[in-house]
Amino acid sequence: MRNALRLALAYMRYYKKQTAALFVGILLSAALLTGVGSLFASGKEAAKENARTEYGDWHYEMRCDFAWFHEFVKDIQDNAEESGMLLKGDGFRLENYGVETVRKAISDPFEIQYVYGDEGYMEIMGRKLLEGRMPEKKNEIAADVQTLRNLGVSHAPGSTVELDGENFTLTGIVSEMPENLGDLMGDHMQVFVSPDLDYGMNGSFLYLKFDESSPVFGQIKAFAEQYGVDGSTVARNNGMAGYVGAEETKLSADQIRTALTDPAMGLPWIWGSLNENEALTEGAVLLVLALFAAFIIYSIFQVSVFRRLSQYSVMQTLGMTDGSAFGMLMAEMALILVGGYTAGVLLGNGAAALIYRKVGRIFITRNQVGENVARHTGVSSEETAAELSVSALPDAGVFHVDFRIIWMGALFLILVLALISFVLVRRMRQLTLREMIAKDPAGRKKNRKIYSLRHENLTGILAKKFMFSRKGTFIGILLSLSVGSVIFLGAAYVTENTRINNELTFAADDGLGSDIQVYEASDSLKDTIPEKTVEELKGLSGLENVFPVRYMLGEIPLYDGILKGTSFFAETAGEEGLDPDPEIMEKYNGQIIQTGEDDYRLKVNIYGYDDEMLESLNDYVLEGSIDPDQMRKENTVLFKTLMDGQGNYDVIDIGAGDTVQIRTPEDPEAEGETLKFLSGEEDYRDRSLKIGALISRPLAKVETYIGDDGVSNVDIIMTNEQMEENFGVTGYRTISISLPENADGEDAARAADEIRDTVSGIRRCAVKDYTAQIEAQDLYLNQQIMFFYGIAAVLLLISLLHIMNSMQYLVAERRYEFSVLRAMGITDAGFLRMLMKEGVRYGIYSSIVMLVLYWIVQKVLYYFMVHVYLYLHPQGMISAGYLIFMVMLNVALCTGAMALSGRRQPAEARPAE
Amino acid sequence: MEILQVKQIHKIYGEKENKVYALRDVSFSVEQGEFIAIVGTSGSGKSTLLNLIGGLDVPTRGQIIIRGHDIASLKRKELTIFRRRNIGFVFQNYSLMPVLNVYDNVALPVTFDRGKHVDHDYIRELLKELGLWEKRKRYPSELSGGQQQRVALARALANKPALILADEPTGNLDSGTTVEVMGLLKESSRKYNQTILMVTHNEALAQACDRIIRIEDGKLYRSGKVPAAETAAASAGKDGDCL
Repeated sequence: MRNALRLALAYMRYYKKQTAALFVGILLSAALLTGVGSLFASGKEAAKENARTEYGDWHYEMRCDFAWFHEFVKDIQDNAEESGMLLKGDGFRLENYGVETVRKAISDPFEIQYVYGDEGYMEIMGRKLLEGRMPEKKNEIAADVQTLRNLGVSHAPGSTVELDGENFTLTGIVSEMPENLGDLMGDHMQVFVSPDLDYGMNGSFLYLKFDESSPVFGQIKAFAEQYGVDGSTVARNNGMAGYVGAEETKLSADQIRTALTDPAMGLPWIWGSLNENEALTEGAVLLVLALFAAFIIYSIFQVSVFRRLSQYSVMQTLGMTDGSAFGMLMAEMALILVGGYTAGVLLGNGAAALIYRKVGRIFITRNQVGENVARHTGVSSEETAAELSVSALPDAGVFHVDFRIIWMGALFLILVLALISFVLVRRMRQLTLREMIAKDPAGRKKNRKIYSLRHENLTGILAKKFMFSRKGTFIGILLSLSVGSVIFLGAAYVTENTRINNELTFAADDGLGSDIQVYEASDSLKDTIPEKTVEELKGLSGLENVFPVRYMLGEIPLYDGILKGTSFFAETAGEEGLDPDPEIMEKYNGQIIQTGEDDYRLKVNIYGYDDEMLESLNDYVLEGSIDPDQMRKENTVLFKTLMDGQGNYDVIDIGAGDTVQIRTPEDPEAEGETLKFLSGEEDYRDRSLKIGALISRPLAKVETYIGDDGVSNVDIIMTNEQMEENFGVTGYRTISISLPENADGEDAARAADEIRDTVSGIRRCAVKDYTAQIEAQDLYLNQQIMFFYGIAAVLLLISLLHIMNSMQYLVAERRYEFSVLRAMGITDAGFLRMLMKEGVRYGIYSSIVMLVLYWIVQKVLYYFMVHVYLYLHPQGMISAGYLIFMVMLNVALCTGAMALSGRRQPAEARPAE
Repeated sequence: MEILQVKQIHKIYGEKENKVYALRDVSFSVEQGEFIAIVGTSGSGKSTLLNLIGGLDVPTRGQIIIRGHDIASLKRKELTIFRRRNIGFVFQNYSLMPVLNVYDNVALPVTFDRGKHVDHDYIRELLKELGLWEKRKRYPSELSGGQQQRVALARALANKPALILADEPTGNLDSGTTVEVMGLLKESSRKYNQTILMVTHNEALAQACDRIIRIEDGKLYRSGKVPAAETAAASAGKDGDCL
């Protein structure tokens, strides 16, 4: 061992350049891996802490007015002091618990629960006493300011509160309940009462918080088993679940088999099931980075080893065993790894900490708790934009060094080093054999062509021969040269499409496509913005564009099996837990109704857009084309179709060129029952309109009828003139206004004020200024994209280092041949030309390999973007500019590196003896 | 006609206390068509002398004039071109390009001269002369040591140089092949009126040459003609008889 270390140190000192290359390779790889890992971990930590505040600091909740609860309390009293933990059971460690007793629940004037919460409950829910004291007598209550405000009571202790005919004295003010607890428990308010108040209808609930260092799902299972708790009565804190492993994410072999054979599920479903809070995506990114690091280290080190192969062979002749060779290689790499990895971790985390401080919010995964229930947005969805916007993201919080990735990365690299040493020792042994075999002419068929008969200059031939003399090495070098470029291109491709997707989603889904929106906050078709107001708005100075939008609610028949994805709608899916939106059911008889075996009638939003807005929709075209003049002339419409969970637009079997039957109320200001489309035929008008283009998203939307989140509804879009001509709609429902590029916050505020003045007389007409949100969102997206490009640039840098090293190896390996050429009288220029020719060839060949590999990688990435991440209109191909850039860079680098390495060769070498 | 003049050559390696005098005040000249052996013990400076004459190294002092050109006055590129046109090398380890076949190895130095057409008739003649024509498509690794050295000789002759410098050309060969290669060198010298300077530490081989230059401790020890009888005996391979 000492010998191995001594030799390893001697080699490191002697081959300084190789040692430095390996050191830098490890340093950069470690920096990238651990830095990115810490950024992900910090984002996750911030999101988790935010979820703790928003949903409460608990994992599971269950009814506890059962016999087992006494046993539980007794265990806590017995065990607490022993373990240092609240309760340590067989397979679980309880950190905190709280009991909430609901004494009474009323629904008038609001949903209010009378609650007694013990100390643990108050702590878990973050309910602090801000003023006064907690209730002690039966006629006392404490509540939060918001609840008191709703009840119209002064928030000063001593005030009298009347609830359900009883008078209570307010003794204290507590902090608000967790902001999003209502998403889990149903919207309600709480007032705290004394433990003595008892209406004889108590319901007690136990809230549990387990030790988060291991997944809590296993702990609740153990807990339920120990106390005989009925698992079906246990509720999970979905806000926290993804961060603490509160859900069972394991898929059974059966589930995987079913998913793979069912085209409606497939890989996207499996990925989605396992990708809790992007954990799988981040894991995949880290794995790719780790593999890349391993590859680079292997590649650089093997170059270093092969340069001194002859010395190893001498040592082997002197009796060095394979084991000693392995030990020596391992010792050398381990020494470099210790330094390189430590420096890399420090550099990576230092840089990551700086990045996190500046742009930490881009690493916070957005909470997706409400994703499933957000489909039927109904009238309550006005805030969608604000909810989705960046301002809703929590603060990035402090930077966390992810020690887990540091240790795992180190362990991974040590294993990689062992594997590399093993492979190299094996190759060294094989090489000796191969060299022996190479002397046997029968072994390989050789090209017997005499080149000098046809070529005046043999340097080109030599360059080619040098490359192909050892095909295995040649292919290995080409592969290693192209891998870095492929990863860079892949990263750039995803970044490019993320940018496109962000822009398109931003403009369409978030409703933030325009700086200022004027809209009717009403679900009555009578409430519209008149034409003359639009004209007035257009006359205002300081506005770039004013796009008025007309609206009508309609219904289309989907007969004879045209609707392929019946499970798309809650009304037709028949799935337990997926209930139709009650408000839409009540007002519009649901979004869709079944009229025959394969026949359905679907409610649709019908929009009239301005020409310019219609042209903007060209970015969202799936089929056909958009030309407003032609639409007017031929009375064709755009059909915003539905996308399934895998990014396919085949929920409805309809396309451009098909005709759609549209039914709307005869009266453009119809109300009540007519909007359910259940009145007599005479109340409706039917139009048969040809579909000019199929699109994936609408732009301006009206969400106050059947809702429109841009994804879950079918929209029929036409020109405003067609809206009047076909359905008699003359008023506008919403106006999208954009400001000039250079407008600042003050301009926006001034413009919004002027707009408010203009629309002030119109009933229920609201003005919303999105400029600040748009600015924040733009900044956020730019930061995100810059980060992606930054990572890609570091990858590229590592690749460059690797290319330089490989080229140097190629030249060094031919020292003998080059010295012969020198002795034969090749000039410096001729020598350089020959090397450059070889460099160019390597550049071209590695570019070809790069393009082929990248083509495959791009296909995979495209599949994931379309079917798993549901990107909007991703480009099937990366911009040609990137490819050209990479090919040129490859050629330039290989050529440059080759020429540079050639210069380092002895000027006039005698062939080595 | 004098083809080479070596004038008061000194070669010193290292500096100060590490100074090593490889050659001291070496002077001699060589006539066209002479076959000269440079003889000396290991470390005597004979290879250094050959390297200096070949332009592979630069003398510390003194002049080397080949065909009237002082090679020290040539610029780097001029020297390279001059060398490939005027000097052919034969090394002990053959120094063939392993990736090229026999024919291309021989033609290689000629192809460095852009615009200069390869004289394929001459190469054919050379290869036939040296018994390599049948093996012209073979690669060095497929040839014996003697055959490889013959290829190296053919390559050295391909440019019709003024001077062939052979550094222990038979050092790696067995005695039979040594005789064969020596015969070829001698024959080339005769047939093409080729000047050859051969470094060897083998006295018997040196006796086969027209003249012997002896070097000891970096100094020219003796330079003299070899009697005709000795030359004939040595060229016939009767080493023992000579010694």
